[in-house]
Amino acid sequence: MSRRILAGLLILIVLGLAQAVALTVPTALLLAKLGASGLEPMARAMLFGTAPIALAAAVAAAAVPGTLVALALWRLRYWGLTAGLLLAPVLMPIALLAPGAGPANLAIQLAGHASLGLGLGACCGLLGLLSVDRGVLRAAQCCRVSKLGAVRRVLLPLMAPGISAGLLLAAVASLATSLVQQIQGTPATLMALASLPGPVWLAAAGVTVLMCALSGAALVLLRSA
Amino acid sequence: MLNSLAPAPAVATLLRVHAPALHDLSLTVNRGEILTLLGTSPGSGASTALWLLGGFVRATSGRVSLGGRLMDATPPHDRRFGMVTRTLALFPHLDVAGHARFAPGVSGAQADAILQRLDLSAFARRRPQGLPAEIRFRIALARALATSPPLLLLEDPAVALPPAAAASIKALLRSIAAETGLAVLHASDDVNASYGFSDRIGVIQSGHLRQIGTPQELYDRPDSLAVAQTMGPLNRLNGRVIDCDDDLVRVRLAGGITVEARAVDPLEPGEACVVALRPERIAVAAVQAAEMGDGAVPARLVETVFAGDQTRLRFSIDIRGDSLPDVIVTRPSGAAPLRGATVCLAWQPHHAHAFRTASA
Repeated sequence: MSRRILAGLLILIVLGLAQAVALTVPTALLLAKLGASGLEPMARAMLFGTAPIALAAAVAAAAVPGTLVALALWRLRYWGLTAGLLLAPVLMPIALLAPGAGPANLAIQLAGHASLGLGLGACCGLLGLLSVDRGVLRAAQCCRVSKLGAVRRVLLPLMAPGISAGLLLAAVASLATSLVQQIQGTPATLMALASLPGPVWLAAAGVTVLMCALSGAALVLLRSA
Repeated sequence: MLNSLAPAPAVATLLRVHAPALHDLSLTVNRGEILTLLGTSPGSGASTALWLLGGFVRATSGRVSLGGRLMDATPPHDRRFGMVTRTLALFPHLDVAGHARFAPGVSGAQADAILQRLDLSAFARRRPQGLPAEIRFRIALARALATSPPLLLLEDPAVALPPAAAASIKALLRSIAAETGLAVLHASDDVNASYGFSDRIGVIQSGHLRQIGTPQELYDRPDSLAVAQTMGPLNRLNGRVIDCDDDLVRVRLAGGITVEARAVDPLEPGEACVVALRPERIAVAAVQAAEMGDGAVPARLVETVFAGDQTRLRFSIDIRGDSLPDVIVTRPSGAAPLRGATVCLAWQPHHAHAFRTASA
């Protein structure tokens, strides 16, 4: 059992690092090509100040709403496209590209981190249930356990490894996103607390949704195959 | 040891279900009795009755009552039924002992007793994954019986198990029912799986309970052609009633052959009917039909099929100018007439059942 957990953790760490590298390296290369300078000390302080909040938002979203969404998807049986859409922020962290300035920008960033956590939490939690017989809730109820008790005593233990993985992934992804922001930001953008122009952000979001729809469709096809 | 498994004393468990898929189904399952709801086809309503009783299917209209008490508003966990479904729905995160102890209020001693009774003690620390199908079924059974329910709702074990394992589980269930007074309501669409297991069988067709009785009653004295066909292989011969005498009728088959049969439906002279015959009830004699007298049917053997403990013989009826379907006769394996042999078929009148053609 412990060997399985270790193997799972190893996979998660590798995945997290891979994602961090995938997010940071292209940006760093771009910055090097453009000759962008490092961060001003004040901007760095501001970014590191918000990173723990963003991390907390991502982890909290992965833990509670993520679990509930996973349960709902399992009950609804149709999870492919929804799971693909939920993973949208992983493919293209919208938080990174949040437009606007000031508190609105911060709110969008936090929402972005939370959505990242939600998607990862829900999808990882769902993984633990995919091979579970749907009759387990009924079987538990026949043992004089209420429906809520059945969820607590049967489904949650089955989801626990997935949820743990989701929390870890959300934390890693959130930190990675903050790190990218730190590297990508220039003194001008950070001091003004501004990001990409609106149309560019919308285009990026559109590409994200399209990619998610395609991945969802692929999941549905794989499931029905 | 088994006292801890004994269900609460109850003379009878009266179930009454009325819903669109089931039409006023009333059943009484006595203590220690195994009652099978035998569906004549998929969607007949046998499993639906179980799910309704368990509280997992909500009737769009109608009601479910147990012993006169309405159960519609009672959640499944308060109905106090045990249930074992086809898929078993075992908990992957629990070991075998964990399954037996899963229900609230089940002590360690009770769990140990049920594990011992079901020969699962050796697997107590194992998880269900990878265990043989029969052991997995026993685990589901242990989980269901740990709370000593008065009634066990059981979907056919034969679906999930190889034949030998299904037979072993059924023998075990029969002994538990006899020892503890556990009532079992079993849903199946396999008549062979129901013989030897059920004390009584209720045949359900399109949501209607057609007939209920012991397996032998249903086999030998079916109330309808549908029940007769459900309970086992049947030869069907169309004819017309000549006359009636008490519960016997004389029927003229195609080709002018006259036979006698027990009238199941009220039949009038001249009325079209179907004479139904079990293959093993037909006698084969290597003589001419004329020598046997009235009721003998001339036939010719066209096929012999060896089927292990029995041989199936297919006969064509020797008549001119008309047609009758071939007749199947089963015999214990051994010497059989040679193919092409001309013989005479005959049967006791009360072994043949005459049904009105409309009821077919």
